[in-house]
Amino acid sequence: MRPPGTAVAGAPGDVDVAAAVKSHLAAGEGAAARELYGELVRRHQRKATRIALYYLRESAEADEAVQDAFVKAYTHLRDFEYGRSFEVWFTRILVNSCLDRVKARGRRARWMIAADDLGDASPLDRVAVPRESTPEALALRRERGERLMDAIARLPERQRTVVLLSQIEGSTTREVSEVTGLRETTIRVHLFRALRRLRLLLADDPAFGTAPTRN
Amino acid sequence: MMLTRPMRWFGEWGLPHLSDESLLELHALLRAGEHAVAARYLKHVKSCESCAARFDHVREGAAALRRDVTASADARITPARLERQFDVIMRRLEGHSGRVLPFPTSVHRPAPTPIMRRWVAMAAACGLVIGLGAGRLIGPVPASPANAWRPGGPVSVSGGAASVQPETDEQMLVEIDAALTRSRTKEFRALDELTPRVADARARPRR
Repeated sequence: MRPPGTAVAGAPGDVDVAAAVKSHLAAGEGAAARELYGELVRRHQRKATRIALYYLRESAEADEAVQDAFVKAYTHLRDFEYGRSFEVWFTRILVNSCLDRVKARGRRARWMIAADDLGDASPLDRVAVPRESTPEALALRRERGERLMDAIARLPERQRTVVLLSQIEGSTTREVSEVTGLRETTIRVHLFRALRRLRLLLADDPAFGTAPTRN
Repeated sequence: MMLTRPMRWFGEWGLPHLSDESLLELHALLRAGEHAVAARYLKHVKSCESCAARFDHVREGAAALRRDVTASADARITPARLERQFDVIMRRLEGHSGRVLPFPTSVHRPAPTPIMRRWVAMAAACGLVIGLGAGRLIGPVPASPANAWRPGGPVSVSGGAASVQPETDEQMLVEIDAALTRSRTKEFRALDELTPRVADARARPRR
């Protein structure tokens, strides 16, 4: 079986698959629609999980957000317009789902005792990468990545979304604009502000070198 | 298309160089596919060896950092995890009928006549009055083991904390947040500020 998160070379594009799922759904052929939709899930699952992890940082909750987003996209597929990018449309659903969870988490932290206080991370975190078999260099690089993600997590919501989608996941400004509903010039402003803030946040971190001087 | 602000320079007058921040912005713009906007920066970089070398450095550093971030996320996304997630998604989809319902255009049901509606409303009101009256006459029923039958199987008698419904909790927290941000309750905010929060209390070091 093909591994999840990959696409077959020469396979029909996302939009064609989505259109075929829609027509199956309209004809009441649920099983065929689900099977085809599974193809879309496999194509975008890895990237979706990565985006959810950027926002939520916690494996179990990221998984739930991804599942919710795929189910929501399936049930609202009638709203998807042929000719638009399925990936952008789906990313919008996913990002909103993640942001809802971030907000809910903030509310819980304000009003309730967090379960994280017990000091136990998700069981998935512990089995994902066995520490003893990880080379030192890889561990250091991962730590650098984690530090950057910590800094990104401290950015305001819009700046965070813009940085994650455009700089980490490689979306164009136009795609980020479609996902966030913001104008392209606004996105540029958020991007520049985010970069400036990140430099300040990481300035004293030894993993990222000394603070820049040429300003 | 315009830049959001002018480029920043440093160096001698007449022989300026782009600042680190401008080079970072240039890289970010190229990464976001904004070649037209980046052209102004690029024009200088192409003609200045020093800035070109620094820009290469920025680009390599940023690419390495991006690889680190995606690698640290990808390391947590194992094939087994994706497979499990895929199965859950497919199972959840099976729960939906998945049928796209067309917008109703042909089927039209006429609304019930006002007279009929009035009779229904009167019957409902009478039922309510009779129910309230009967309830008052009978009075509160004392709880007894014989009446303690509840649907849904045996009830735990361990006396522990009641199970918390996460959706209900979430709804409650949303309502609390909404109530606090409402202008009518702003008088209570001062009182709220005086009240210690659970999270703050826990964060404080214990003696």
